[in-house]
Amino acid sequence: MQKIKIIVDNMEPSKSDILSNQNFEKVLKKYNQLYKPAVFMNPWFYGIVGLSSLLIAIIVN
Amino acid sequence: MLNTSYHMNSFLLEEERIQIEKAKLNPEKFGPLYKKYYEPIYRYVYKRMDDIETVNDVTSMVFVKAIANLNKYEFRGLPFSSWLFRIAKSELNQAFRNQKSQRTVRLDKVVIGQMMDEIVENDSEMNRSKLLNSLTRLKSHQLELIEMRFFEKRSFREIGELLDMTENNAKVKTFRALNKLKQIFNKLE
Repeated sequence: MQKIKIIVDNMEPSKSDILSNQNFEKVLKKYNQLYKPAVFMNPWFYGIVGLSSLLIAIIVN
Repeated sequence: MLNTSYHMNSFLLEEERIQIEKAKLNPEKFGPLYKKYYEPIYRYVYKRMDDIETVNDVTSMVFVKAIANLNKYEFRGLPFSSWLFRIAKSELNQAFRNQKSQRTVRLDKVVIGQMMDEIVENDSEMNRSKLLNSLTRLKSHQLELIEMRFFEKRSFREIGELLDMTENNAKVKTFRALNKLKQIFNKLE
């Protein structure tokens, strides 16, 4: 069974205390760190690389 | 007292649906939803954790996970908050498993007094202490129901949506949890 701690707390944080902790920039940064795919995982990356290679091949030949 | 921010009319639900669709295309558009739900999610986490730093971390992670999984979210006429609370519940459980924080129940004296009225006629210091002891002996799903209904004053409809059950089932299970609490209370010396 999970051990449970009881706190008799008459001083809940105020709305302004809670809102002062808001930081959407930090959330976005964390999201980008954890979930945003790397550049080489993006289909656009392969499109651009492919087109560039084709252009170089045409110019060279 | 019902949580009025939870019970929204169809116009507000539609407005929210549009915000969600925008955020699916661009995470930066999630900002208004973050601002709207930060406080209720923070309070939900705060009431269940003993360490304030972890409360901040868990609350942030709820929104990180929400943005990451937003494409899986389907609008079914329920407030977006019910989906966020489910993520919060899962993040809390993860934090308890990782032993970052201990499962906590935060109560004020007014709520304890109201709970005493449900359990016993004689509201003495000894009985209050017995009640707190009884709460720690409930199973986690029973405690969750007691917390939501009696400490956070949520409606059965909201409890049902948050715990993925019907309103009627939420009502039945909450009364069973209350009966269990009474049984434990009466067995304690």
